[in-house]
This record gives sequence, C-alpha cells and structure tokens, in this order.
Amino acid sequence: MTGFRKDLQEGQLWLTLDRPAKLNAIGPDTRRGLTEALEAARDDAGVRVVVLTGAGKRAFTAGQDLAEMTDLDADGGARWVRELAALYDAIRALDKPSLVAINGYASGAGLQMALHADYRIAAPHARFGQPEIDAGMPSVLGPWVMRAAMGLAATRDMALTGRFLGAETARRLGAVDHIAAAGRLAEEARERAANLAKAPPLAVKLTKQRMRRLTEDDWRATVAHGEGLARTAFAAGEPQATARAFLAARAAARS
Amino acid sequence: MNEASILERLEKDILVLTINRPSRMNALSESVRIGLTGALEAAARRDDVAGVVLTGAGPRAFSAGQDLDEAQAFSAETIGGHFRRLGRLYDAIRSLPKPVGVALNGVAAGFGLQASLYADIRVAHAGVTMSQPEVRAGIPSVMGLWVIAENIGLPRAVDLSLTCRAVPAEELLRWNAIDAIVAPEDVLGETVARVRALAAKPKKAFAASKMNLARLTQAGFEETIEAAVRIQGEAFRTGEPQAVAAAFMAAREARKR
Repeated sequence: MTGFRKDLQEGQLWLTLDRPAKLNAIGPDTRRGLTEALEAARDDAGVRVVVLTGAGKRAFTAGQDLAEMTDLDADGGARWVRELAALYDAIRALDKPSLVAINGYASGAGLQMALHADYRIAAPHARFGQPEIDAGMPSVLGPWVMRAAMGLAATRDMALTGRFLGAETARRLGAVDHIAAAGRLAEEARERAANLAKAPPLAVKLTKQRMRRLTEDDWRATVAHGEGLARTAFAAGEPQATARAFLAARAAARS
Repeated sequence: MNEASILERLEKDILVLTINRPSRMNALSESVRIGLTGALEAAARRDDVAGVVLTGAGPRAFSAGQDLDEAQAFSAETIGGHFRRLGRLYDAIRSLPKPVGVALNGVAAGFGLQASLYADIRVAHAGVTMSQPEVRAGIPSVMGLWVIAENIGLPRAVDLSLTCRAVPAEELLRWNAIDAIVAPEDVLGETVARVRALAAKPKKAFAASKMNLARLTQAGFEETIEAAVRIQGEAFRTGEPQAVAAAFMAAREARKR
C-alpha cells in the first residue's frame, strides 16, 4: 500500500493520492513511491502529460504525515528534507507537462508539489497553506518555490503566519491558474491535460529543461540549507515535541 | 530638535517605535534613521522584546519619505554613504529574528513604503496610501524598485516607480502588500496583536524561517544597495536631482508667501 494510485489513459498519467481518511497525508512510503512513479513517467514515451490529484473531496493532500516526525533524529531530519527535495526534483525534471488538480486542502508538501508543477487548476473550495511553522519546523523548501510563483510578500505572509488562503485569493496571488466550476474539477483537468499533451514534445522538453536550468543552482542551495536547518531543528527536538503535542491533542479531541 | 525623533515604549512584550515628527509628516531625517536602526538592532538582543511594531505620530503619515530639507545637503560625494546607511536600517528590519509589524497610521511614501515592505506584517486603515515618488523628485527609483518587485512583482514596481501614483489601501490589500484594513483607531492595536501572534509561534522555527527568507533574497538585497550607490552617484553628478529639489523648495517658499 503506497498511498496513491496510477492510471494511464490516452497519454494522461493520473497519480491520485489515495488515503482520504488521512486527508491524503504523505508518509515515507508515499513520498518514495510517488518519486519513483514520476521518474518512471519521465522516461515513458507513452506518457504525454502527468496529472496529480487527491482522492475524495476534502484534500489534494494535507502534506506531511506528522506521525513520521515524532521520532526522527538529526540524521533522519536531514534525510527527510533530501527525500522531499527528490520528490520535488522528480516534478521539476519531468520533460513533459504536469498539471495538479487541487480538490481540497493543499497544505505544505501539497502546496509545494502544486507550485513545482506547470499548471494548477483548483476546485472552488480548495485551500492553500504552508503551516510548517505551527508544527515547529523551519519553513525552507516551501518559501523557495512560493517566492518564485507568488513573490516575497505572499510567501512571507503564508510561511510566517501559517494561514490558509481560499482558491480565489490563491488565484489572485499566482498560486492557482484556474478555478474549475463546482463539481467539474476532474473534467476540466482532463480537458486541460489533453490540450497540454498536444504540444510538440521536443519544444516542451527543451523549454522545460531551460526553465529548470534557470533556477537549479538557487534551488540546490536552498535544499542544502534546508537539510542543515532540519538537522539543527531535529537535534534540538522542537519539531518532534510539537508534532507529538499536535497528535495527542487531535487524539484527545476525537475521544 | 528638542523632542526625540523616535519614541520607544513597551506594550508588554512588544516594542512600539514611533517616528515622532508629525509636523514633517514623519519624514526620514538623519536622527530618525539613526534612532530606528539603533532601536531595531538592540531589539534583536533584548530578552524583554518578543516583537517590534513601527508606526508614525499623528494621523497623517507613517512616513512621507526623505526629509527634503536635509536632502539639500546631498551631493555626488555624499549620496552613496546615505544609501548604504539606509540599507543598514532596512537590513535591521529584514534580519531581526523576531516579528516586525508596521502600523500604517497614514501615508507611506518612499522610505515609508520601503520600510513597510521589509517588515513581516502591515496593517492600514482605509485612508492609507502608499507611493514611490522618488522619480518625481528627480531621484532614480533603485532600492524601492527592488523591494516592490521582490514583494509584489516587477510590473507593479514599474507602475509605482514611474507613475509615482498613490495606491489606495483597497488596492494594496488585493496585492497582498498589506495584510488588513481596520478602523483608524484600531490600526496600532491590531498590528500589536498580529505581531504578538507571530511571536507566539515556535521560536526557533520562526527565527529560522524568517532568516531563510532573508537568505533567499540576500544576493539581490546586497546588489541593490551597490546599484543604488552607483546610480545615485551618477544622477547627482549630472545635477538633475539637486535642480528638481531646488525648484520644489522654491515653489514651496513661494506658496508660503
């Protein structure tokens, strides 16, 4: 059970995060499986476009599964950042178009996957946030891609307050390209993906390689910085303690 | 001047720094710059300060920008040092590992706009405007252009720098250039509350996240100061900024008579 499903139809590879009871949260198995699936899609001539979405109506993904965070040590924290970066790298390195259909919450890693992709289409009820700070984690990889997409003011606002934006605000600030009509997200995403898939593949590939090259050095510096900060933060214990307190509070609220 | 140009007071754990030159629209003078820089750099080290709020005295302005009387002393030789020292003030805001908010009690022009955009939180009332009027004063828009572009995009930076127009609060809110519009009497309280909410976040995570934002923009920030030193020097060597300032001052004198 890797937490997502793959469907390939008419050149469209749909990767659907599929743990709806957990708001499609991403744990280590999902993170690694998704990275492999994206890397395989790059080399598969039968895939013309990749679509990422989530099962159910509540979330694309709530982001990081906090259960993974409670027992990481300093090395584990650094490895966690490296693996997240590998997931985002797999999206950045796709030499075919990618589209994210945001069917609810896009939180943390969910927001970041969406921003690393080429095109974002959201359900009207979608919500966007970068709440790492409230989990006691320095926000590093997220602000890099948020700043590139949305500018510093919106990045600082979201990364330091941890607040969530509605779909219309996210569109105004550049985090979303299009808001689908209510109940029509999957259909509109499929139509849009079909259009993207028609683009001449070589021109797309060379353009996307150029786009990645433009930002690669800066991105690598940010990943290295994030690894170092995660090592420091997990050595100090603040993220683990905050994650444990959060999970305990949620368990108490349910009982 | 007899009264201090910067007033300091603690609202519990939040340090409120008030630019106190209301008769001059809280314009940026040497004493304002020195006072703000010193207070912000000290705030980083003070255990009794969890966050900082900047505001202006009186109802009209947070700060209308550079003090034009003091600007008459600017020359090709001195202007570079002025922008380096101004850069140090902006750096004291962006590099403070604690939250900084701006309570926009009135207009924010030039320096006022830029200091606001380096902060973490901005709260205004409906009558507040922001503008970047340097070009109209014969001064190239260099540091302002960068910080506006970095925060809300290059097209808006070009718009503000070349038209010098006053952007109303509603439009600033749509751009995310400010965080909230409240009643004038609530601006300061709302800013203090929002800064305090940020100060209540996990402290190490907050400091590391804010320092990461400074790191992301560090190369651009440093390059901008060097560009300002170079370009302002070139402008002042032509004499245009001085001529525009002299014409403005003469017109002001004529209106007074």
